[in-house]
Amino acid sequence: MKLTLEQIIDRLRRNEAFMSCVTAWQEIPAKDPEYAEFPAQLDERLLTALHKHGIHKLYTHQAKAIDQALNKKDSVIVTPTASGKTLCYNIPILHSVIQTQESRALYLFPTKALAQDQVHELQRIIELFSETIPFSIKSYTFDGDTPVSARKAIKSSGHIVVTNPDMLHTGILPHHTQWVKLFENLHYVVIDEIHHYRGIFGSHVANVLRRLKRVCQFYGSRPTFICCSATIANPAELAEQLTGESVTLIDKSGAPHGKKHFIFYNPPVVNKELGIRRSYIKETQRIAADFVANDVQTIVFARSRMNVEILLTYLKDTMRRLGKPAIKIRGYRGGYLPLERREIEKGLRDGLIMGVVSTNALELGIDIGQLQISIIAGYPGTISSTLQQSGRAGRRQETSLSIFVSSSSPLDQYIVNNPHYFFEKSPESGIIDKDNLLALLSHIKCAAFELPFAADERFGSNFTGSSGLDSTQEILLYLEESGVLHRSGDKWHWMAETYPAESINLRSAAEENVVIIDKTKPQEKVIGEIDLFAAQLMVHDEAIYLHEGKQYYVDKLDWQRRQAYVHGVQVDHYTDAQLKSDLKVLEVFQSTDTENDFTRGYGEVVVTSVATMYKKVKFQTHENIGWGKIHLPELELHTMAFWYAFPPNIHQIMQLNKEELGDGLKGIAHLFKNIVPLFIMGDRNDIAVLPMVRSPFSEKPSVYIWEQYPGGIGLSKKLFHSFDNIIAAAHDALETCACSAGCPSCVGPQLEVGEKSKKVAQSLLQIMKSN
Amino acid sequence: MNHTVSAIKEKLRSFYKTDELAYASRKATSSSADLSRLGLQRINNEYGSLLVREKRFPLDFGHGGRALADFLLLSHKQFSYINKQDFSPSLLSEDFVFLDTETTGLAGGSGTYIFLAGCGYFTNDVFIVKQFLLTDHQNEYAFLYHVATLLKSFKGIISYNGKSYDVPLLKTRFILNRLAEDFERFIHIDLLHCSRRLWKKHLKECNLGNIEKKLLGFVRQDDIASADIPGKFVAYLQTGTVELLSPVYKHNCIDIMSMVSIAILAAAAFDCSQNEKIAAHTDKRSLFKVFMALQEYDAAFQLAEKSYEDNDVHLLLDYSYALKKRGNFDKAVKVWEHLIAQSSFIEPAYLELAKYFEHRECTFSKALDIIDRVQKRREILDELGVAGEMLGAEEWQHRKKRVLAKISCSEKKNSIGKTA
Repeated sequence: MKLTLEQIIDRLRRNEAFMSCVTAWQEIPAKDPEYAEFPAQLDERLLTALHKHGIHKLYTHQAKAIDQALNKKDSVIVTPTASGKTLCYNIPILHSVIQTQESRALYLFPTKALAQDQVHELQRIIELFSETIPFSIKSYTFDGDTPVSARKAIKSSGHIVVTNPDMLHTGILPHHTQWVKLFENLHYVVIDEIHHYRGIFGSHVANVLRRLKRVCQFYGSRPTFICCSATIANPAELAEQLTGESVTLIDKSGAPHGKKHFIFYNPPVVNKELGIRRSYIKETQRIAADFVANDVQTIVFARSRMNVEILLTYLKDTMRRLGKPAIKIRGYRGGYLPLERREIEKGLRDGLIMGVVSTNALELGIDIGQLQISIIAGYPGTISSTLQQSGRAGRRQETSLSIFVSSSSPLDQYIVNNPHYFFEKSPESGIIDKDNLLALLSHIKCAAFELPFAADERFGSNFTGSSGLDSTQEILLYLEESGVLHRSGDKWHWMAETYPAESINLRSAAEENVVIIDKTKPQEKVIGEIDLFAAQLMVHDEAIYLHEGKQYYVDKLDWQRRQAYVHGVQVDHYTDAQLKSDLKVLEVFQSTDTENDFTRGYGEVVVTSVATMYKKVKFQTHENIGWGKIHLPELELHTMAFWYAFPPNIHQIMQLNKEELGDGLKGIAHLFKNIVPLFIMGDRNDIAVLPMVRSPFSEKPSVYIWEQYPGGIGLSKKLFHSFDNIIAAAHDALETCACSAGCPSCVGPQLEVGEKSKKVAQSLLQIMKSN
Repeated sequence: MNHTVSAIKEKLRSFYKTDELAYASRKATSSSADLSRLGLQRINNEYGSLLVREKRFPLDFGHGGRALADFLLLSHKQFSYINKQDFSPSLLSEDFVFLDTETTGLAGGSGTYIFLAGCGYFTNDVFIVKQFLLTDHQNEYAFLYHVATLLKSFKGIISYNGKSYDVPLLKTRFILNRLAEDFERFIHIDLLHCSRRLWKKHLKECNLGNIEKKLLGFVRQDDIASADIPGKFVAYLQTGTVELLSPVYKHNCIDIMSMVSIAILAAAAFDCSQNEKIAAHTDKRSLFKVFMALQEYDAAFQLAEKSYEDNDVHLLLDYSYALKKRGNFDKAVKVWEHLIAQSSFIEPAYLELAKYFEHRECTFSKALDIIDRVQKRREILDELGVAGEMLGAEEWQHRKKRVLAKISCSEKKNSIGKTA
C-alpha cells in the first residue's frame, strides 16, 4: 500500500536509525493567504480577462507591486517560489499596453529557457484579450536562436520583448537604431531572478543596464524597473546596484503555504578512527528511493553533473528491483538538449515523472510545478541556494518535506552540526562590484560605440572606490590615447573598426562546447553538449560518460573539432578524471613584501589545468579498479590570485622536514578552500586553492588562492585586506574539530594529507596568527 | 584613493597592451589652396563644415567598354528587368542616384561611421560624381544634412550591396543625428542582387572587382584594399592631411562609375541577341524567371525555345512547367521528350510524361513504357551508387501498379465490348 507524505514523515520520526542521524528537524508552520483588492486604476478589460483566467483577487504583495509599477516606482519583489510573482509585473505591463498601444516592455531572464517559459505564460494571458481589445498584444523572445526572418517584426512590433542580458549586450544595444520603437516607448524593464546576477556576471549586467539607460535617455524614455529575486540578504541593495535607482522593497508575501518539515541528516560514521561516514550519495539514494516508490513526487539536487548521473543510475536500479518503471525517474542537468529538458519539465508538471535528479539547473524559476519532497544531496554552498532548492517542494495547502543530506566535506559537516547557522543566519548577500576597473573599461567602450560620450557625461552615477577612478573622463582619455576613441568638439566618438561587445563576455564559464555524438547505431545522434572545462574531465578518450543513467564509452574526443564520439556500453564502473593545475604570477598588484618574512600579496596570474589521468571506479563499492592516461592540451585561465608565503626557512624554524611541511600546507589549503567562501560571500567553486612547498615565483613555501573567473572579480583583493579573519576562523575550526589527526571536516582525510598534517597545520596557523 | 590619474592609466595600459596606438594628436589644417589642388572644396552650412569633391564626366566618357550615355537610354522596362520588379513608364534614368559609402569599419552597428558618401547622377548632359567627406565627427550633422539634401531630388537609389550595407548604415547615422529621412520612399536597385541573379552561375564570385575583370574588361591599378580604408580615415583625423584620402576618393569614384556600366550591362543581358559575350556569361534560367515574374511570357518562351541548343535542363524543365500550367501540352511534351532523349537521367521529365500519358492522353501503354524505362535506369544508377536525389522507388512502383490496373481494366472493357 502506498503511503501519504504525512505517513512517510511519521514513519521517519519513528525510525530510530534514521533519527540518530538527524541533527535538526525544523517545522515551519503553514501560512494562510492574505488578499488585497485590485488597484482601482487597472483597465476593466484587463480585469475581465484575469477573471476569465481564474484570478479574482490578488495576494497582498502582488497588489503592492502592481501599485508601485503603475505609479512608475522602481521596485524589487522578493517572495518564495510559487507565490505568483510573474503577475506582479505582467499585470501592470499588460495594463500599460492595453491603454497605450505604443507602450513597450523589455524582460530580462538569465537563461533562454526561462525566457521561453515566460513567453508561453504571457501568451496564455494575452489570448484572453483577443476579443476585448482592437489590436493584438505581441510578446516575443529575442535571443541567439531567433530566426533572422522573424527579427524585423520583433524589432518594430513586439510589445513585450523577452531576452537575456547577453543578447541585450551584443545584439540589441549596439544596434539600437533598429529598435527605435522599443526605446522610444520603453515603459518597463523587468529583471527577474536578480540573485543570479552576482559576482562578475552581476557586475557586467549592472554595466549593461547603465548602457540601456543611456540609450533610453537618447530616445527620451525613462523605464520603470521591476526586479524579482529569490531570498538573499540584500535584495534592495542588489537591485539598486544593478539598476542604479533607489527601489521599493516588497518582501512580505501574501501567498499561502503548507506546513514544511526541514530535516538535516548526517550519514552515520562507519570508521571512527578515520572519520569516514557512509557515502552521502548512497544515503540520498536510499532515502529518495523510498519516496519515489510510494509515488510521492521528489526532486533530488546533486552538486555535480557526475553525481546527478550516479544517483540516477542507482535510483533507476532500485526502481527496477522494486518492479517499478524506471522511466518515472529522470535526470536534469546542463548537457541535456533543450527538447529533452522541455519534455522532463512537462512530465514533472503533469505528474508523469515522480522523481528527478538535478544539478542547480532546476534551482531557477523554470516551471515544473511544485513537488512534495526535495532532497539536497550535499550543501549547495550558500544558504540562498539551499532555500531555493528546498522551495521546490511545497504545494499551496499541503505539507512538504526538505532533507539536507550532508557530505563529509568540512563545510557540509559544519552546516549539519551547526544547524542554527543555517536557520538563524540571514542568507548570503548578492555582491557586485560594478565599478570594477575592467568591467567599467569594457562597458564604457561598448557605450561609446553605441552613442558618443559628452565631455561632461558620467557613466552611471559616481564611481565607488573599487575602480580607483574619480570620473568617466579618466577612462575616456585613456581610450582616446589608445586610439579607440576620437575626441571631436565636445564629444568622444568610437573610432576603432571593431565591434567591442563581441569580445566582451558577461559570463565566466567557457562558452565553447563539445558536442557528444552517439555512434551506437549507424544513424549518428547528438545526445548532449558540454563545456570545455567539463569536457576534459567527462568525455576524454576512454572515459565512461553517463547520460540519463545510460553508460557510453568515449571512443574519441576530437579536441580540435570539439566533438566526442561515444557508443553505448554496459560496464560495472565509471571513470573519474584527475585535474592537474599549475600557476604562474604575471604581475604583483600589492604585496607586503619583506625578505624572509611572512608575505601576503595579490595580482594577476595564469593558471593552466590539464586532465592527466583517470581512475576506473566500481559502482556501489567505489573501489578503484584501474586507471589510464589522458592526452589533452592545457586550458589556460588568466585571473587574479591572492597568495600567502612563509619564510623560506620555515621548516627549520618549526623543526619539520620538507614532507611534513608539505602535509601541513595541504591541510591549510583544504581548510581555506572550505572556509574562504563564507567570508567572500561566494561559492566554493568561485575559488581554487593550491599549496606549494616551494613556489617557483617567490621560492618560498606558499598557498595560492585564485579566482575561477577570467580576469578575476576582485576577490583576491578582498582576501588581501581581510585575511586575518580567515586565518583566525581556520585556526578556530581546527581547534574545535574533535578528530585525532585530521578528518574530512578539517584538514582533510588522514590518508590524503598525511599523519602529521593536522598538527603541522595547527602550528602553521598559530604562527600565521602572530605574524 | 591615492591613485593618480597617470597611475591608473598605467594600470589600464598593462591590461590592454595590444591596444596601444599612441599618436601625435596635433592636427594640421589644410589650406584652401591645398584643397583646390585636390579638387576639394570646403562647404560651411549652419551646422558645421564638410569637404566636397565634384567630378564631371561627359556623356561619351567610356568606362568598362560602355559609354555613360547608354545609361540614359535605359527604359523603365529595362529597369524592371534589372530589379525583377514592375516600374511605371514615368521612371527615367535621371531619377536615379548612384550611391556608395566608405565607412570606419565593416562591423555595422551604431559605432560605425560613414565618412565618405559618393553620389553619382546625370544632369544636363553630364554625369556628376559628388563626394561628401566628413571632416570630423562633430561635423557629422552638417555632412549628413548635405547628403540628405542631395538625395531629396531623386526617386531611386542604385547601389552595390546597398540594401544590406550602405542604406541601413545611412539610416542609423540619420537616426543618431535626429535627421528625418524616409528611406522607404526610394526605389532601390541593388546591383549586387541583380549580378548574382544573372552571373553567379558562371562567374561564381560577384564582387565588384570580379565583375569588372570578367565583364567590363579591366582590372584596377593601385586600388586601395577595402580593409585599408578605415585606417586612412583614422590617419586623416590624426594628422589632418587630406591627401591621405586620395586613394579612397579614387576607389569610391571607380565604384560608382562601374555601377553605371553594370546597370547598362545588366539591361543588355536581357536582350541576348545583342551581345554574345554577355550572353555567354548570363544564366538564361534567371532571365526566364525574371520574364515570368514580370508576366512577359512571350519573351520568356522565346528565350526558352532558343535554349534547346544550350541544353539547360533546369531552364527547359521550368519552361515545360510553365507550358503545362498554361495548357500548352503539345509544346510541353516536346520539351519532355527532348529531355528524356538525353544521356543523363532527368527523372522529372519522365515523371511528367508518365503523368501526361496516364491522366491526359490516357495512353496507358505509353505510360507503362515510360515507367519501365525509369525503373531500368534507376537499377543501373543504383548499382553504380550514383542515384542522387530521386523520387522513391515505391512511388514508381505504385504508379506502375495503378497503370497496370488501368490497362487490364480497359482490356476488360474492350473484351466486354467485343462480346456484346
